[in-house]
Amino acid sequence: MQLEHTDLEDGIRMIRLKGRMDLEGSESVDLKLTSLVAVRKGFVIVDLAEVEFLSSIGVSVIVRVARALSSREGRLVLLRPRPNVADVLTRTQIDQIIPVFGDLTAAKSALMGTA
Amino acid sequence: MISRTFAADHSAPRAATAWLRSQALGLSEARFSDAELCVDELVTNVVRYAWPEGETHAVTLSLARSASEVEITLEDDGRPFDPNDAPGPPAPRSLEEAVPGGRGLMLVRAIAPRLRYERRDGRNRTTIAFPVES
Repeated sequence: MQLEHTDLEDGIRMIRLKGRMDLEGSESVDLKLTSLVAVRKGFVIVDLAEVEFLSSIGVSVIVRVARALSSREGRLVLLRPRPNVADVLTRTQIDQIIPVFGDLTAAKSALMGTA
Repeated sequence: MISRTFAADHSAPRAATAWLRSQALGLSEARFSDAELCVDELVTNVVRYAWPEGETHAVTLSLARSASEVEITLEDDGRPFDPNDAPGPPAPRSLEEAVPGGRGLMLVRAIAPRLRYERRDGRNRTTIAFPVES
């Protein structure tokens, strides 16, 4: 699984994940993802557009990093999940506690609105 | 019926779902996504919890297709474990209270139209079934 990040001009960190977020994929990005959100008052968008599959292991990684960020007064939102990935977020009710957006502008506004 | 055995290591869920994808199952795209997720979750659970750390084992996946459904059976020689019995975490009310893990089998129970478990000859046999398009 691949991970890349960009720091946007408004202080938001954009993390793009690519590949299958199954047991193997989640383990391969866990450490890097955790270190990329290890900031105080960080605002992070995790772009899921290129994530072709998400399992409960991937969900637990996302919940863990979102919680860690929240405990440091930051916030994480999810962007553009594919239908099968969005299904998993809905079925686990994770979309009730981590906001999911279909477009970047809405995701940015939500984060900046809480700044 | 066709079957394939996989080394029960951390690459097994991906190998098992890739094999599933290579078979002509006759499931709609949405049903296939459900089947793929269930197989991934069940294999992941076996790989992580069925045996003491460090032991080498295998997990076997079998497929049987009838006119009405595709039946997928997962078999392993790990400790007895009925996926019907594993409670999931409560619905999260807030991010702070959310338990990160434990949702895999909860997903399988919610998604698989049929889920059956039996312990036979020292082996776990978990069967899930999905209706094919008529």
